Parts: sequence; structure tokens; C-alpha cells
Amino acid sequence: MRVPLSGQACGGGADRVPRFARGVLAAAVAAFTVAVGAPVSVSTAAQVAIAPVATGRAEPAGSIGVQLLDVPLTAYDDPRARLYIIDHLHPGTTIHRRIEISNTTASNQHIVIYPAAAAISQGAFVGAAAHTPNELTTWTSVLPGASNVPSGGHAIATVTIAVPRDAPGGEQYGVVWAETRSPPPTGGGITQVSRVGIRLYLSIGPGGAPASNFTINSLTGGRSPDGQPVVVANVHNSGGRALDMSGTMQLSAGPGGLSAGPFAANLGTTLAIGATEPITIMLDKQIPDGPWHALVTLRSGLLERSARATITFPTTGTPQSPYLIIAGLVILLLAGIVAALFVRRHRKPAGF
Amino acid sequence: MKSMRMGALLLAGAAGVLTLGLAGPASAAETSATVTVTGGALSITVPASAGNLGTRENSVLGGTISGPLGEVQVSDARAAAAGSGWVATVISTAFTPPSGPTIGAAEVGYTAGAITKVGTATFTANNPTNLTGVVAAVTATGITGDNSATWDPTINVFVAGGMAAGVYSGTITQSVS
Repeated sequence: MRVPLSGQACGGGADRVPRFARGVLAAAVAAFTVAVGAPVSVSTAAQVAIAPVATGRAEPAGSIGVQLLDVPLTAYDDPRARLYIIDHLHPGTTIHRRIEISNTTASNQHIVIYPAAAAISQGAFVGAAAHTPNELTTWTSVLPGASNVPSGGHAIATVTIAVPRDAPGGEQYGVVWAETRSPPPTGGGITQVSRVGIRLYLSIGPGGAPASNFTINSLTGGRSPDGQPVVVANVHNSGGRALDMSGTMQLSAGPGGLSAGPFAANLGTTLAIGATEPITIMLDKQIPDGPWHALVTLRSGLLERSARATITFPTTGTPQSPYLIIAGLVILLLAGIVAALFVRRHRKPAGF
Repeated sequence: MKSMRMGALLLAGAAGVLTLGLAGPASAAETSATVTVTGGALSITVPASAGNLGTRENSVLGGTISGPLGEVQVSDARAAAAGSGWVATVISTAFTPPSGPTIGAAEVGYTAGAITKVGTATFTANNPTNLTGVVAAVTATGITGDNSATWDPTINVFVAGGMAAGVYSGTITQSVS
């Protein structure tokens, strides 16, 4: 699909960029990725000097899995409540939730099940190391705390959360982990631990659950470093609960009346209470620049908010910028020559 | 093989949608009733013995030992709502020799390498260069339905000059939720 770009000069792609300009383009892109990209591990450069020993790379040895079995009837329609233990509890109440631990390996597995703290930082829900406690984990118990699960079998454990009468209000986070570890290597080496867990989002307080709410503050069109059009929605959690964002975007009323989408919003982002995070929606490079009418619909559980905006993606900037730079340089050069000639002509009579 | 596995995932997901049953109100006195959902599980590969990452001679300037940790697979058969995600994290302890100073976890890095994907999701490798604290290794976002990611991480340990000879031992934990 080749669609003319609206109102801009040089609609061609990189294939029409002259060789010199391609060099400039490559340099510009390279400089940009170095500045923006993830830090490159310095150590990888030194790999040459290493003599690997015992690189016995086995096939994946099967897995351990967890799933939540009980969902509160009141939260049954909430898709988040089917994945995670999410509840609002009054101080002094106790809840029980069953979880199933499965073993798809070819051997028995000793699986340890325990709660540990978690936090939401930079849009990600991250469980703390090992058995790190927080207030929520001190109220949470799992029975049995360990189980020998046979090959292909499963075990059921009950998670009990007993909120004390003097518990402080607010939302707390944790994970109920199922953990296995590799046998300690003979003669030393690396012991590996694998954990898979069910997140806990527990709100404590009198009365009903604090309202969840969020606002979409802005919608902007842009391009990723490699030229992919991207829409960034700035989302603010203005409610009293953490949110797990999901959603889609629909483009309409585009050039020639085109419509496109829905495009999945690139999320999985967990938004802490009071936090504002960008949520990006990546689009195909073939999408014309616009202008488009964009409708973004984001949701967390049953809560849904929409935002509309007219968006124009910046023209495929990188291939065109060399032209602009060259044009600018030529104009400057011409201006300089004209100015020099003018000055020279002007000065001659004065000088002599 | 992969498609068969995915087929199994989908089947489990479909079964989850169909077999909804009411559980007994086990603790009705204390809390509201619950519904039993037989969906699929979120799972992670059980670690094989990683054995030895590699060996290098002691040197004045030091250098890096890199080696594979063994393949990791995260399967998500929870039939999650469109757009949900999971986060796989990694943390390391210090590496301890039989005697002498340890190599701190700040000298240990994790490179995910290529991620083989099944299903609809965006997987992002974070490639942390310091495993002192829990840090994201691979993040799945924009999930639609069941999905799985397989990668073969490389561990890079920087060994400073003048470290004692011997086998260094440590623990590396990979978690997904």
C-alpha cells in the first residue's frame, strides 16, 4: 500500500534518498539509538576470552504453574479478579482463596508456597526478593506451605488473609509464590530458583471499596526512533486503587476517508495510586500521516474511559531531514555568497 | 511442537470458559461467596542444574565470564483479558568462593537474547546489568489470550583482577507474576 503523504514535499521513502543523504540518515539514526536505547552491557565485549565449560543446554524441563480457583461472586465480571486476588476488606475480616499449583515436569517437584511483598514502580508490578515481608504478608498465610507435587499432577493450597482490627487503611500489594529450586550443584556453581505467583491487591478500610478512577490527560502522535508511528496516551490514576490498564485505539476520518484499527494499546502497565504513566500504541509504518480522528478506549477491570483527539503523525522525519538539512545548507551558502558579493561590491568604492 | 503446545493452551483456556461452577460458600460467615473458575495457569520452567557458567584464568585487569543459564519459558494460559500482562524478574546473590572475597551481584548481568513468541503479546527484554535487587528481565504487554515466551538467558559475571581461584557459588532467582 502506497499512499501519498499529505502536503509534504518528497513523498519517497529511503530508496529515493541520495547516497550522501543516506549516510547522514544512518549517522543520525545511529546517534539516536545510542542515546535512547538500553544501556549496552560492556561485559559482552569481553566474551572472547572465555572458555565455556559444561554448557549442557537442556530442553525446557517442564514447568510449574499457578492459578486462582476462587473469585468473589461480587467481582465475577471483573477480568482482573479472575487473575489476581483483588479485594476490599474491612479491618477484622478474613478471606480464603484456593490456588492450584501444577507440575508439568517429568518428575516430582517439591514446591514451596508463601506470600511475599510487592510494589508498583514505573508502571510494573514487581514482587520483592525471597520472603520479603510487608504488613499484608504478615496477615497472609498459605496452607500447605510446601507440597510434593507428582509429575503431571497438581496440588491445591488455601490462601488465608486475616486483616487485624487495627489494620491501617489503604491498598497493599503482595504475591503468593510457588517456588522450586534446582538441586545444589556438586562442587559449587549456580543454584537456580523459579517462582510463579498470583498477585495480591488488597484494599483495607471501612465501608465500600474506594472508587477506582483514571483520566486520559493527553493523546499525542509521534514516531519511534525507527520511524514507526506511535500514539502516546498520558494516563493518571485519580482513584483509590491500583489499576491494570488495557485498551485499544481506533483511527477514523483519515486521508481519503480511511479508517484503521482497532490497535491494541501496548500496556500490561500497572498504574499505582496517584501515578501518571505514558501508555503507547504502536502502529504500522504504512499508516498514512493523517490527520486522523483517534479514539482511545482504556480500561482497568470494569472501569472504562475514552479520549478523542485529532492526530497527525510527524512526517517520516528521518528520510526527509537530510533534504531539509541540505536545502538549508544550500540556502545558507547562497545567502553567504550573495552577502559576500554585496559587501565586496559595496566596499570597493569606499576602499579606493 | 510449538503449535501443538499452543493448541493445548487454547484447549485449556476454552475449557476454562466452559467449566464454571459454583463452589460451596466455604466461609460465608466471614466473607462473600466465591465462584470457582477452572481457567489455565501462569507457569515458568523448572530450572535445570545450571552447572558452570565458564572458567577464566585469573588476570590483573579482570574480565567477564559469560554462560547460558538454561532456557526459560513462561506460559500464560489464563485466558487473560485483552491488554493484560506479566512481568518476569531476576535477582542474584553474590557469588562466593570456598575462601576469599565474593563477587557482588552488582557485577552480574542478564541478557535475555532472542525471545520466541507464541500468541499475541509484546515481549520486551530489559537486559539488566546489575542484579543486586529484583529487576524486570522480560515484560509481556498487550496480551490477547493465551501466550508464551521462550528465551535463553546469558549471565555475564565481571571478575575483577586478583580474585582467588576456585569455584564461585551463587543463586539466581527468576520469578513471574
